[in-house]
Amino acid sequence: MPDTALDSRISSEPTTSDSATSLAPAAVPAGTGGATIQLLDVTKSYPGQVAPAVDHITLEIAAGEIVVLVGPSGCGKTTTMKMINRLIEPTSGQILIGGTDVLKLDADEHRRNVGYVIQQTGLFPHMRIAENIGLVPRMLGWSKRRTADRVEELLEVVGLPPGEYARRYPRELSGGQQQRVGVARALAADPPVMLMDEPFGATDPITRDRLQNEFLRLQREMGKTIVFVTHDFDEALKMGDRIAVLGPQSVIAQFDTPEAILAAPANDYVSSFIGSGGQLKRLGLMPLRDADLRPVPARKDLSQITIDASLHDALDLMLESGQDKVLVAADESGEGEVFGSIRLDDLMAAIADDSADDPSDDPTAKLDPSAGS
Amino acid sequence: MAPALVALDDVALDDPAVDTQQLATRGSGFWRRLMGLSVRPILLAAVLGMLYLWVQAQTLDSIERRVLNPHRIRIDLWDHVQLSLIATALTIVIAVPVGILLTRPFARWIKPIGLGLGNFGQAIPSIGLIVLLALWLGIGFWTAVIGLVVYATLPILRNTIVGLDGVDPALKEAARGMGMSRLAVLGRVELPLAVPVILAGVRTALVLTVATATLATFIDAGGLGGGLVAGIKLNRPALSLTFGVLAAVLALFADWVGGIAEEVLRPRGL
Ligand SMILES: Nc1ncnc2c1ncn2[C@@H]1O[C@H](COP(=O)(O)OP(=O)(O)OP(=O)(O)O)[C@@H](O)[C@H]1O
Ligand SMILES: [Mg+2]
Repeated sequence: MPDTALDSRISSEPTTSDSATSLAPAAVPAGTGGATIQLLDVTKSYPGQVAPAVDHITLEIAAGEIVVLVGPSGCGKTTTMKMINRLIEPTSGQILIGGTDVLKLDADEHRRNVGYVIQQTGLFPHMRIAENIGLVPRMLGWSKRRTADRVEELLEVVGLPPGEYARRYPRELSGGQQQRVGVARALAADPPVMLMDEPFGATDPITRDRLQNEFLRLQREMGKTIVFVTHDFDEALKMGDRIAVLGPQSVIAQFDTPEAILAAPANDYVSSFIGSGGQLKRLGLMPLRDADLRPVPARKDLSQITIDASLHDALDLMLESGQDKVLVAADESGEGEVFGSIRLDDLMAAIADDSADDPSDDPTAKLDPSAGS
Repeated sequence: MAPALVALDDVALDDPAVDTQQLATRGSGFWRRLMGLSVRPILLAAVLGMLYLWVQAQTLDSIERRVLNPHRIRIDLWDHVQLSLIATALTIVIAVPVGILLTRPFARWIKPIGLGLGNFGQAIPSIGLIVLLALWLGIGFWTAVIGLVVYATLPILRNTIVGLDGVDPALKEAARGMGMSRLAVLGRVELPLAVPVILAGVRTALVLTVATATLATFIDAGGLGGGLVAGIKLNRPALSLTFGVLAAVLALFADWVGGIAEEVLRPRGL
């Protein structure tokens, strides 16, 4: 199963590592890290509409963080995001990137320094892939040579060998490949901030999963500050360091880590968004790597699971094998080192513990949520 | 090396079969269209050959001989071509920029007016338009050109507007979102994508102009209309037939040239 191989390679990266270069050093795109984004009391009223589309939102996003805006259709996610690159001008409020008030910048210049990925990919059909990706660098005055090198590098990074793809036209690529080019294009000039509006929305579940994994993998090396819009809560759980659950008019219902939102939804609206299986989703966010394992039992007939999997996967395997414990090992084959075992009770305890704890003490929380609103 | 970022099975996702098939069908479509285009000149040459044989078989009187001679035909043909080309070129130079202006956000409200004027130009009977212009500006070549421009503006104007309006808004927004100025969006995204539609309009206008230029003779601006009208006035059907066929062949030839231009100038990748 090559897919699992990919996933395990991705998840074998410690989440907190900031030197995740061991696997593919050459692939690390030149790193301008991220910059903070602050929306301060930002409102957007479209002319001729009574209620504002975005009503006084305040949102502070730390450098290098992925914040997912999630909410039902029409709640103002896209509007909120587009105000950051000023495709939509706010009616009132302040937007700061790295402390600079972007509303005072030249809009075109500003946009060249903000990566932008949209669901429809927005690739220009009359330009070859290389030309599409090189647009922003060229606008920023890079030389042809430097741009070409960068384009090649990025095509490698998103898994499209330049020799084969650089000279193609977008229509000669599959949907998933086009999405990758869309991501590469947004990364081209190495912007500190990326805006992604349902970037993987138009792909089938398998491709989407793969694109998500690849992107998370990339992000671990790049540390961009990313605003990611989706209306799929599961995608939000997977992609977000923190999630802002938005209600109508972009009012923030809850802004916290995925773990904290699942453990303690702020209100019924958020619960309804989580939907059923919230506890299972929490297990899915808890890696076995972080669990307290028991010693290896004497029994030899137990199923074995890789330490890169989650508690949810462990539960699944217990149900599948009909046993209330599984072995946790370096891999599933039975040959790798066995680290210990985990029991059904432990899963129960993990869920109970976690709910009792202050979410910010949660070992799986990737960021301190107290920085939020 | 970067590929470590990507699982090997990604290659399967690339699905080369689909791509090559796509390329192949596009290729064959292109050649099929070119084949179709190559039939036209052969047919037209055959028609001209038959016309020549037919004229040779006639016994022409002195009046007919005066009009139906190679020298006169060459002059008329050249005048006709000149009129049509200059008028079409002028129409493009006027109608495309106007079409661009009318699709800019600030000018949307005048768009119906612009289109209305274009419609009006085409709705006036062409002969009436040319005669009226002659009463106003005097007879001659340039009056005929102006009449033809008024008459042919609509197809180019309309197609420019339709072509530009037809560009996917998501593309325009992507272009703005990556920091292109409005002018750059127009020049690098909107116009290239609208080219096929605009060219179709130019082709229509060209054919219309070649056909309508037969009327130029009424205001003494030359062209193939001369022989045609002379045939009617002098009751010499052979003259009308010959010049009529020549004008028709020229119009069809212009249409063919337009078709070639559409094939060649269409941006690749569309
Ligand atoms: N250009 C516009 N003019 C007027 N109203 C608009 C405009 N764009 C969006 N709106 C309105 O603003 C509200 C928020 O729209 P927005 O596109 O931000 O929603 P969204 O959360 O991105 O929804 P979706 O999930 O469907 O993409 C909607 O009620 C929409 O009708
Ligand atoms: Mg949206």
